[in-house]
Amino acid sequence: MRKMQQNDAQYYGIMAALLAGVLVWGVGLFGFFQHADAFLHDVLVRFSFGKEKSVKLLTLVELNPQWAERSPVQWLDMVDRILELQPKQVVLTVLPPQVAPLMATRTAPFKGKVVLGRALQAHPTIPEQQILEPWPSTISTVIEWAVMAPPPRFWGVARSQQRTLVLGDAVLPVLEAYAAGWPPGADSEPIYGVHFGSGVSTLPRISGEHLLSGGLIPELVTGRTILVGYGWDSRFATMTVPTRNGYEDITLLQFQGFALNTLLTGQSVHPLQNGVRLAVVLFVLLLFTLMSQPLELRTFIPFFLVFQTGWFMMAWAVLFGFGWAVPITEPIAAMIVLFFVFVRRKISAGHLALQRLLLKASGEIRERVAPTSFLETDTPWPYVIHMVDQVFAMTRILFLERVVKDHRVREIIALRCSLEDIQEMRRDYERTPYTTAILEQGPLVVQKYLKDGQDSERQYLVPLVTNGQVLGFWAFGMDVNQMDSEENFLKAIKSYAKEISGLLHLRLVREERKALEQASWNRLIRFEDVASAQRNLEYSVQLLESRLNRLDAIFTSMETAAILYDPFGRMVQINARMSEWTQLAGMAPFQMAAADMIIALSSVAGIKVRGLLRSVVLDNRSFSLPARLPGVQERDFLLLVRPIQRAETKSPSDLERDVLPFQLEGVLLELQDISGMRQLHTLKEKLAGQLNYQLRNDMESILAACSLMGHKNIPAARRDRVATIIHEKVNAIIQAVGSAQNLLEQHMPLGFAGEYPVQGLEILKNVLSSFMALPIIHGRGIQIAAHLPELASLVLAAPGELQDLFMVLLTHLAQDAGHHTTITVRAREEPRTGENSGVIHFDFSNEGYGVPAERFQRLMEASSSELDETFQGPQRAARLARSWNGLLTGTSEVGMGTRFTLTLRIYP
Amino acid sequence: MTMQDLLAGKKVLLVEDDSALQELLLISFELEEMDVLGASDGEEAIALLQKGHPDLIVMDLMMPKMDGFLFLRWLRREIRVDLPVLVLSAVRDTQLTDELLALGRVRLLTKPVNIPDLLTAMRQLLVV
Repeated sequence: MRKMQQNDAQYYGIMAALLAGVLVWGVGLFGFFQHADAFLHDVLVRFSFGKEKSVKLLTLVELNPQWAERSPVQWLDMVDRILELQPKQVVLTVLPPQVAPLMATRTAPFKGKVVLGRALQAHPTIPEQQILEPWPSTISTVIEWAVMAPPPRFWGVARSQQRTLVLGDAVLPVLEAYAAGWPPGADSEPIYGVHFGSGVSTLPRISGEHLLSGGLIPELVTGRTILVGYGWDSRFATMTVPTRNGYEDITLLQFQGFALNTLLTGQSVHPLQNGVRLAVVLFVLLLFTLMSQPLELRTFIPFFLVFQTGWFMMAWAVLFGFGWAVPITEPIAAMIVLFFVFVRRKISAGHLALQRLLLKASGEIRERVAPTSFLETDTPWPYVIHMVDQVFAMTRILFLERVVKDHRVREIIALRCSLEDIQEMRRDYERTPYTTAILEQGPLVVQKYLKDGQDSERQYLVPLVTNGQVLGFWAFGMDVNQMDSEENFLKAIKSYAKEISGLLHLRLVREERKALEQASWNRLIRFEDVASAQRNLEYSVQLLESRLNRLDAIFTSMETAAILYDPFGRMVQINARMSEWTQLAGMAPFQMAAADMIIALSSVAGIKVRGLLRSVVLDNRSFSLPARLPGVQERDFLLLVRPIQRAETKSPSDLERDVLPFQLEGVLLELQDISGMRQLHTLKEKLAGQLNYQLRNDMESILAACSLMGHKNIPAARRDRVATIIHEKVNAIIQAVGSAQNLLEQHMPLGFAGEYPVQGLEILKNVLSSFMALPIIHGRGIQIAAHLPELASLVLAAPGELQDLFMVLLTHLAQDAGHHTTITVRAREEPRTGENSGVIHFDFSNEGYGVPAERFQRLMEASSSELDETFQGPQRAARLARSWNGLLTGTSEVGMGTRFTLTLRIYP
Repeated sequence: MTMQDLLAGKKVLLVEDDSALQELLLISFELEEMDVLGASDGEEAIALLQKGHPDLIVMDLMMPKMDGFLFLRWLRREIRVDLPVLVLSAVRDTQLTDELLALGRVRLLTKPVNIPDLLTAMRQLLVV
């Protein structure tokens, strides 16, 4: 999948690069980038490398403007002096009219060695048209000449010169190109870049006056091209050129000198042909694209800047290394375009990845907090409606959901009613009473919303809202006679509505997802709504937060004091009880590591504690130590130290593997107050000691008495006395044992049996099945009449003991029952009313012999010292019932039978 | 004189807070022709000892007012260090036994004990 996405991205990038390259190149054909390129060229020139060589093939002879008035003799003298020193050629860029005829005659023998520059001038009648400076025909046919074309300029800067000039129909060679050798090579460009080097200072120059005064030396002339023309004068226009030193203003003669020198030395800069430019642009862009595709956004931006700089440097190196003017602006412009395209693309990809992550995370969270299996089908709703019915005992219940785009409500599930009970007119959720209920944000009393209601029925409508979005409604009827406190009732309804809204939200999300999955167009374009993903995640996070808050509340409110440390012994969480106790002891748990805390509480040596902790961390072992809170001597504690291990996940993520290398999540310290247990233990010890002492003393008396009774010489009166003592001592022993038993029951009323929510009714049914199979039932022909409801709430008891208790009572009744009589068993639930928790009464009665009522009550009392084996079972049953905060009562009457009633509390 | 006759005519002080047991032991000792005086606690026994010294003391250890241990210490300090004492105790305690035996010529029997065994122990104590 990931590979496919990469391929898609590369294909997209290449296409974008090609498109951008062609586009930029096309725009460049219209000269769009010329100015920018020219400017960059000047920058590159300024930073050109290598030592600048002095000009050796050319010398300029600069004349002042007065030379225009000079006599032909002086002109010829100047030319003769030059020719004497055997130059390669002499190029005259200026020739006054009075000098022209004589000069033609004089230089005729030097054909090919003297070239004249012929200026252009405006057409006398058409000013915008240029024509050649008029010359006598005798001159133009005798002397070689070439036209002096003004160099093209951009932004006032002259950087290049043309080789030919088109004038009318004629293509004329330009002076510099002609002087450099005509015709030029076939591969010569019509326009060439002029190399200005370090500027005018590199050009060898001599003034006309200096020449005439004999200052001309052979080194400046022999073998060189001598360019003669007007030098610097304020009356002549200058032109700006780029040099190593920056822009310089030079004369036309100097420009011609640089242009001619460029051609003579082969230093001209070659501009690329359009086709080649396109190839270069595309190559650069493709390289940029391929290199940038795998990069993340944060590295892409610096890469872009580096690549731009790199290309600029490359252009600089190619310009001065090979004389090629590669395109700079076009690739840079195209890269800027691509930069924005790619950044947008990468951000979009990031958003898409984030969106997928959100969906995945929200799915995982929801699976963890609200398992899909529970919500996959409509199965939760029967549970929900049944639970609501059990809790609130409503007359009618109806859950409705909104039908999008239909303005109508739809039935999810109903009990003792249906959607048909709502009038057709009142099913539009954009009208009352729905809108009123939404405004109410809670239960709204509605009149005759559901048809055929009883007079005592009060009807409510509750909006089901999640994240501020109304998802449905909960309509129900309630018998006003069943409502004890409307305030509490409405409060509970609000809480339930919130939970039910959550379930409804999950149902809608599931349906939306199913619809999207089924839509073929969605599969094609993979449309996923970010907002929807965000909503899902928000809700999942809310669920998670709610679960965490519950767990946090459970941890905080735990009866056992607990404190959690991470694997490095740093405190992570402390619950309220531990916080209270450590505060009582003046300890600062936030500043104490796990080992410090254990040492402080248990007073065990540090080295031993460290060893124990090592076994917790490495061997996953738990240990317990007796503990005391420093400064709190009257209480005894047990300190439990155990490792908390991370639950194995089916496929741990990379993050889990990287961030949570340990299997150990933390170390939990639990401090249990065992003061009560310690007191009971002390009591037991003392009681046993006392009983031992008493019994030994009394046994001593009995032994002594028995010995005396066997003595032959003991008088009869004393024998009687001894017998009395024996009887007294036996009674005293019985009394002592009975008292000890009572004391134990009083202080340890089976409190350790524990109580749990158990299905009392189911246990009773199972016991009845076993009971009916007993021989005594068949033997006496006893019938069992069980009047039991189908369902009953859970009761608080210990499951094993409750089973024994039922059997004990039934057995007792069976033993007391007459032949062919009936034992009746009933169960009736007394629901919760106000603050009183509900109870279930289990009634057992027989038609038996019975015992006198007074004696029955005495025997049923646990503290009774009267011994009757048949009542040991019911006595124990009564104690068990009390240990669960329940009650076992009974009545009996001679000839009528016996009846037991076991009352147990409902959970919760 | 045989061992059976050893107790006859001996003056014995019985210190026992349990009146029934005291009564039974007094009868038993009288049947053996011993001259027995009975006391309910240590203080009462001290008062009797002021009037004359017995040949043997049979005493309980756990008693009100002055327990047997304190009485024994007083006895060794104030009356006679070698007066034979038979201690009857319902408590098994090794440390207590050691402390009692350290007081010299003391024998400890743990209740319940048969009368014949008790008489045998008394005879042995008188002989030693």
